[in-house]
Amino acid sequence: MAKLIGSAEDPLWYKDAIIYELHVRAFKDSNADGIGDFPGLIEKMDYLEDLGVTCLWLLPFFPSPLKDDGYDISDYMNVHPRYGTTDDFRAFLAAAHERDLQVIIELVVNHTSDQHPWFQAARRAPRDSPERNFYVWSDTEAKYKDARIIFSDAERSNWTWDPVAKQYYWHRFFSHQPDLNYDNPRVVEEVLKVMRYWLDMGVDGLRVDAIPYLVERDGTSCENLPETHEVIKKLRREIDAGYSSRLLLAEANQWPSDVRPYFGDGDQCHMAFHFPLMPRIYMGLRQEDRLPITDIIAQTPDIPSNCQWGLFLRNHDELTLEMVTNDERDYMYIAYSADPRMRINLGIRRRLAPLVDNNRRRIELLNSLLLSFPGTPILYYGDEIGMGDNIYLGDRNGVRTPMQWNADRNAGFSTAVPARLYSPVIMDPVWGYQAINVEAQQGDPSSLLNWMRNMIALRKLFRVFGRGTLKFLDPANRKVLAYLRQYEDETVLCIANLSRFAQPVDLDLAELEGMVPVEMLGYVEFPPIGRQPYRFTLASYSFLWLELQQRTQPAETKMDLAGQASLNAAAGWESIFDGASRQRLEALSLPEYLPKQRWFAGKSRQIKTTRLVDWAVFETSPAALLLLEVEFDSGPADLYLLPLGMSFGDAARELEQSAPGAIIAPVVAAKNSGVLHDAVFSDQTCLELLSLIENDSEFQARHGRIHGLRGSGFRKIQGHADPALTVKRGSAEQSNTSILYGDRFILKLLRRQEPGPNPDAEIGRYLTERVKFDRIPPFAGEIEYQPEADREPFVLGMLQGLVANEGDGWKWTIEELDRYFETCAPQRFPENINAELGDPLRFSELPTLATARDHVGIYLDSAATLGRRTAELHLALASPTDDPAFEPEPMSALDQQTLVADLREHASRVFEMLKEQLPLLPDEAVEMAAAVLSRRTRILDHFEALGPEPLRTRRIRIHGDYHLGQVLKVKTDFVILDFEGEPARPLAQRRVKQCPLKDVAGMLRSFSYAAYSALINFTTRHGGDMARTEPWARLWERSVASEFLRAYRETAHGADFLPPGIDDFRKLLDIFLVDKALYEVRYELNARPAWLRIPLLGIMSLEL
Amino acid sequence: MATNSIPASPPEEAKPIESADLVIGILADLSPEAVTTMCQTLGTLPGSLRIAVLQNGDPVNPSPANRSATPQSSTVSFAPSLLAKPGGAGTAPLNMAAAYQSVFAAGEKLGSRACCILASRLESETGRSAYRLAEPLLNGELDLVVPRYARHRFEGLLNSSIVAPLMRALYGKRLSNPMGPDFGVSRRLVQRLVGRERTGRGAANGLHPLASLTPLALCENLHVAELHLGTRSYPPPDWTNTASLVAEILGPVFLDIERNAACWQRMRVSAAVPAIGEPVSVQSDTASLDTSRLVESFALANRELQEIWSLILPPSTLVELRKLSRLRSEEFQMPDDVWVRIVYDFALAHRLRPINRDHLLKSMTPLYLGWVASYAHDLERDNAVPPDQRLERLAGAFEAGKPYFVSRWRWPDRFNP
Repeated sequence: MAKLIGSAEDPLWYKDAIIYELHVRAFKDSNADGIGDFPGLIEKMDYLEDLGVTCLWLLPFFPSPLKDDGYDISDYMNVHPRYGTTDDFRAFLAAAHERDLQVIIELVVNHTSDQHPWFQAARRAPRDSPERNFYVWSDTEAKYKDARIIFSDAERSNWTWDPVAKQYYWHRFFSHQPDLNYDNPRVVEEVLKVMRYWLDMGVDGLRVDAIPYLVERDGTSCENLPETHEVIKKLRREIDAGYSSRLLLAEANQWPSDVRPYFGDGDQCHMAFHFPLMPRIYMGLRQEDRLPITDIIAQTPDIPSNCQWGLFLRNHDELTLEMVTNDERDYMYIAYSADPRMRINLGIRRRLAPLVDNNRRRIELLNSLLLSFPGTPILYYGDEIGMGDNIYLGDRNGVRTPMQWNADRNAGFSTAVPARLYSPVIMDPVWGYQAINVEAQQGDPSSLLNWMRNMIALRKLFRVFGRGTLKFLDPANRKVLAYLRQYEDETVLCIANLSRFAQPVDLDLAELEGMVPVEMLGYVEFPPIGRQPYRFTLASYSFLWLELQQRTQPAETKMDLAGQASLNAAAGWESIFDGASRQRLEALSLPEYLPKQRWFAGKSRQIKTTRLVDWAVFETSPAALLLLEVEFDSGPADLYLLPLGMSFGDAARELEQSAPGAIIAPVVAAKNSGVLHDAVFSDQTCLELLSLIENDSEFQARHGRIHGLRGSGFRKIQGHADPALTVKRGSAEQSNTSILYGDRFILKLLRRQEPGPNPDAEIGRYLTERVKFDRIPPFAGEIEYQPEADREPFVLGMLQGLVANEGDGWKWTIEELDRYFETCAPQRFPENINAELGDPLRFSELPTLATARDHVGIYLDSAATLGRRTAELHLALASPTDDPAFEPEPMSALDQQTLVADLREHASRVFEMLKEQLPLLPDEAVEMAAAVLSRRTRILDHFEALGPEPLRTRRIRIHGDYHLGQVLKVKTDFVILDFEGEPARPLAQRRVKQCPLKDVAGMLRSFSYAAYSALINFTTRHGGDMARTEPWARLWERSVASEFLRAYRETAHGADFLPPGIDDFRKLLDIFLVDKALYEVRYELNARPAWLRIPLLGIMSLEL
Repeated sequence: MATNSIPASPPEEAKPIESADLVIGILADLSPEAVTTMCQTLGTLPGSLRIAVLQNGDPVNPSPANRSATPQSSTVSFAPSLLAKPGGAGTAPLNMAAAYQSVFAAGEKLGSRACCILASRLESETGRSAYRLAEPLLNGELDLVVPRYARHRFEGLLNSSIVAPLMRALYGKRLSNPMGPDFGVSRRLVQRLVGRERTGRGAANGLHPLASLTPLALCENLHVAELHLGTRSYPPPDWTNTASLVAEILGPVFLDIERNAACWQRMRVSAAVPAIGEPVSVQSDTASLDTSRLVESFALANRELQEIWSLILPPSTLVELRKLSRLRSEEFQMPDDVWVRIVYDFALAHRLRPINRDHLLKSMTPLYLGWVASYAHDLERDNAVPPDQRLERLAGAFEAGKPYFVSRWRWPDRFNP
């Protein structure tokens, strides 16, 4: 038999639902009898749709004596005449489904009303007859004596004597609610009939009331018995067999571990309420401590994947305190129910807004928790407008008053005379309907109602809230609750300040490094997450929802393939590298692709054409290594390495989403459409490159051979690694491309190619294998391309051991500086210090300033460590050797003249370039660029300061492009990376032996660069006054530079690569500082004009 | 049901069609010769396919040449009664929606692997267009083939200034003509579209397959490609009577945006889709536009519609519009970012309904005319960029403005800048 389809398409619809609990009686009266009804509810469906809820849960609307608000049912298959007819209900159901709203109704089958025909028949039927056995009877009250009395305020026993039956009958609740006997199969059959009746009509879910109490057994608490679970399984089987997309929702006011069995193995209830969470949310709020909340969540077991918790802040009953300790209950009573009339049974009968003293921020905070905790939120009618309660009404009727629609008579709920209403509307000045009603709040853009509507809409955009995992973070400040929700590709960080005062919090988000938090309400991007703790400052009772997004490619790297016809790959790589496809690739695709790549060095020149020089196709992966010549409209051609891959189908689509900037052109092959892309984005290709090195293997290119060379340290680094090393691509933007293999190796693919030894590989191999210098990543091998005709080989890539680290020195420094400015910027800069912030070399010979020690803190120690390591590197590179490539050489007069000439020539070129591009510069850089150009003569003359006499020093191999980005922070120490030299210089120049003070100048410039870029970021972000904060930047830079210099000079003291006198040391250092700053200018002109301001600022601050 | 098979079955031997591999719906007013060519070309599709052609009017008689097919040739049959008639009661777009739906319903009923719809007249290749739309679908790799037309600079501007860049920014794929109207659709996509309309409130609430197809395919992560279809014949634009057109086109697009909010707020960058075939350039494109009337319409609306616009647009945009209204016609220039924010604010207002949706959309028309005037002025400058580059710049502005739209959508507070 075909299943009856529910109104929801997705069988797990309840996971994404926002449930709205309402009583028909209290919602809207259509016929002026003072009682809400279905036609009235239908009138208000637009309101509910507009609010954004997706599911309505109706409290009992069946015929009943109404001694327990309808939970005493006398006819399960009808509608109470006060509320309308069955046809009215059908009309309501249709109206709800028309609006994509699901409907849950009550299945109150633990007990009936004592007026139910079943009970009336039972009490009159003979003992032990099937009719009598519809209920639980006993001749004594002694049976089931271990079961507690739930309504302890109203009942003294779970047994009541029936004078007609002349037996006691069992009832877990009021005495007018006799419990059905589930040991009688006819009862189960009748309950199934009831269930089928409503499900056949189209109802989407059934809330099973009082589910733990269905079956009784002597010697037990008569709660949660295995036999009860068997009954539930029967109900569930019936649903699964005959219906789709329906729901069983368990009402089990129990500890989470006791509720867990009601989910079974996903074969009992789909949902269950999480009762103990509710009081603990209120407790956490009042105590300003997250512990009660995290504690109860920690006690909450996992549930089957098709199941869900139902979460609520308030409902039609009291705020139950059954699931708290006695002390906690006392606290809650004192904190939330000063007036004893607010208490009932073991709970507090108050609505949400009165519980939190009508504080809007508290209401919003609690709702933010409700909407972001793992589960389906359930809103209680009226709480969306902050309705109050009436503690002078009996039982729990104080929270069941008529919905307040407007300021008209009876709150717009009914046109009956007020005395006829089923309950008085709330009328006091604070909570009364004149002050709090839907109509007023609809017209108020800042109302709670509009806030709720926006929040609900926002939650519905993200499935992570309904379906995701939860992980609490553990910041030191317990007033802050922070947790991560994760589902598929959605990750959301939620932070809530439970305190009435502003709170700071540092969150350890290191495992999410690189992600960008985006505030979800306003779509505001926050700074990216780094390895250091992420600091938030939260206003009182504030909360943040942050979607953690992958950092997008900058706009300029997005590929524009629109209009590009696909390359034909019908015959594999041959058809790409030949004929029309090759022409299109060379003339169109690559010239468009290359300038958008960070590693492409020719951005400032116009590409004329590209030419495929050579290529080698991998044997086992759909990839090829391509050597590509790029011709420009001016200047010499460049050669680039480009690993190419082809992906089709899902792989291509995934790439389009995850790395659109890596796509070169669309391709078609055998009617498959796909993309040609950078093969670095193929794991298979990356592993093939590693294997090439490991096996010292080689393969044929069209015009040469490619071979791998394993370094002597490879096996040691490899250890007993899992052969399937996971592949990751380095995220840092740099001139080359890094591929990471598990935690073992890093392969650096050298993009811009020149024949001859690559200095990075050459120095790496020398330091690792010859000098045993261990403050670098160990060299593990390389890939070479040997062209035909005995030409010089090219190094395509270098493999190193991966060093566990806390990030590169630049990033760490910027994070330190962010904190530094946070602390210092608000403070007045000590006036007496300004004069002392002169030349760092002079500064290094003085004791560290107390102000610097206080504010810069541990970074000073790190700078000293870095100075020591730098000196040790130079000492290692200056070691005696017979290798002519590394043997130190004296600085001759000619060397010195050549150096000066080179520096002047370089400076002149940069000035020319700056002059040419002056009209194109960003506004904020133009003035400063002009100022630098005005100092041109002075700067050029400064290079002559060295004089004609050679300095008594030696030239050695050096790092060549030394800055903070070239060191890794490893605990309290550093490891030095990347000996490639300045990528913009020709290879031969980068291998030349030089004065090591060039490296020292590079690092000093890097400190300056960091200080000023962090200053700009800080003042941009905080809208501060840069001029006022700038002295703090100078203090940091000078203090750090002097610590670095002091340690460097102490460690390298006496080395013959340094000039012996301080004056010569200073002269050399100064000219390298100028040269480095000009190099930075050139680099930024080519790559990032927006950053140009920083090196210009650096040049202007030099004392020339 | 009248059927007509090519080449095997003459009309008089017609039998009801019970199944088909491919359904072709011809909604355009094509000449009998074009239809004959189309059927002949379709007949050459490999794999002995059964192809049902849905077209209103008299079925085309097969020509003798059609009868010399190979055994591998496909069989083409006519089933016009399965097609809703565009000429029936109701507005043109609703009729068009019904026609599309009837093609998809026929595809479902006949169990076809793909449906193709030809709704426009192409200046060349009309005869092969059905073949070219169908071929990439039948190998199962693609789910939606959308057209890419060569366009004259003032043709299809409602699409290229609003619909295409908006969909590109929202759904993350760069498509020139996301609303077709010529489409190739896989069975999988047809089933999802039909299923959604069955469970949702469908066309009765203003949803239109033309607006829904592409977003649905993109949100469901299905496979989409563009097909270069040459030059499409557009009716001459009537700039004095565009309000209804704006409302008819944008209404369903905005509705679909509301429906797909959870999808498009995930998309963060745009990417191209594979393009099939070779691009075609328009031969001569020297058309010019008298912008004075467009600017007058804008200025008039700026005086008359302030009250409505103030319900939709934030103060900063209203100030910009006031400044624009003071410009002389030849100086009129609406910045792209202003236009983009206007489109986004109208899309949001369509969701929030501060006024009747039809009035809302019609009040957008003078703003659209203002942008058209700006565009025309841009193209007439001495150093003007080609129209495609100009529109690409606009598309970039839509992408750059997307965070504005997301933030407005998520927190639609009227107290904004």
